[in-house]
Amino acid sequence: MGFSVSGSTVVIFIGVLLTLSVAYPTLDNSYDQIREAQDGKFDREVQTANTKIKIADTTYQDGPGRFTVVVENTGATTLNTTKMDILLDGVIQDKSQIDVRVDGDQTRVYAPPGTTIELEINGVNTKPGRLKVVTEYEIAEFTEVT
Amino acid sequence: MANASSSTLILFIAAITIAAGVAGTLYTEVSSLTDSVSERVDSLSETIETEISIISDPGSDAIYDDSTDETTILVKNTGETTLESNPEQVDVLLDGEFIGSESVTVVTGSEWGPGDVARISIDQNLNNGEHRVVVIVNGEREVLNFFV
Repeated sequence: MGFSVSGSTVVIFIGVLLTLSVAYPTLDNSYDQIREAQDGKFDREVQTANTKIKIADTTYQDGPGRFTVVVENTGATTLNTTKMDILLDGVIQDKSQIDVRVDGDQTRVYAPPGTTIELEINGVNTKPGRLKVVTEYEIAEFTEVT
Repeated sequence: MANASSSTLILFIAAITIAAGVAGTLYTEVSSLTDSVSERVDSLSETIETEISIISDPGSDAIYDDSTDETTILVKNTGETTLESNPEQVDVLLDGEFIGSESVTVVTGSEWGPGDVARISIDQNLNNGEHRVVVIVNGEREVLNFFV
């Protein structure tokens, strides 16, 4: 009788150990995964809060059909110009038609705080009435073109 | 004496068998539970990493084309994960009505990655007045109000 109890206890104990060996890594990884996702979300929220732009100037040249927008990075975060979008009269512009310069340099892609981004949009046949510039962090600026 | 030994042996075998059954069931059920937890966490972390933003200009005429009865919404992926541009993965409500026939096209880039914009087109006649579009992707919800 006593040996049955001892034997059963050992078997159940081994079962519990095996169960814990399966459960613990999964639970630990799950916690890390959620924590990492939450940290990433928090970082994005901070980036968004630190993002601010100002549309400094717009110019339309009807000869070459070119519309130039000058945007200033007045926030505290560096902007990736390849992830910016331009809407003219609500229509999103094809990025292959946009030449970008950061502080006059066409080779630069990232615009740190305080820099000026010049976007030349080609193939604009009529002067637009509305301009919206959207950054990668959802922050946007709108202006009516005069 | 022999009878006592036999019954003790039988009881021992029975006890061990029951204990093994309990241990085995416990292991199986917890394994199944951890698989479910793992899947749920994958889904949850994808939801946390998903962020979208409707960047359409609501004051422009580009949202609703009354000659083709087409509503066009531009949605930017402002999160960290690449989103499925499959219409079945994107839920759209127009004035509270579920739209199952919208088309989703990635405008910038070959896939709807972070920073890329997708165009959602809805073929439905709209009356003059105010309208509301809700776009839901991976549990992330964005709303656009516009006037026709």
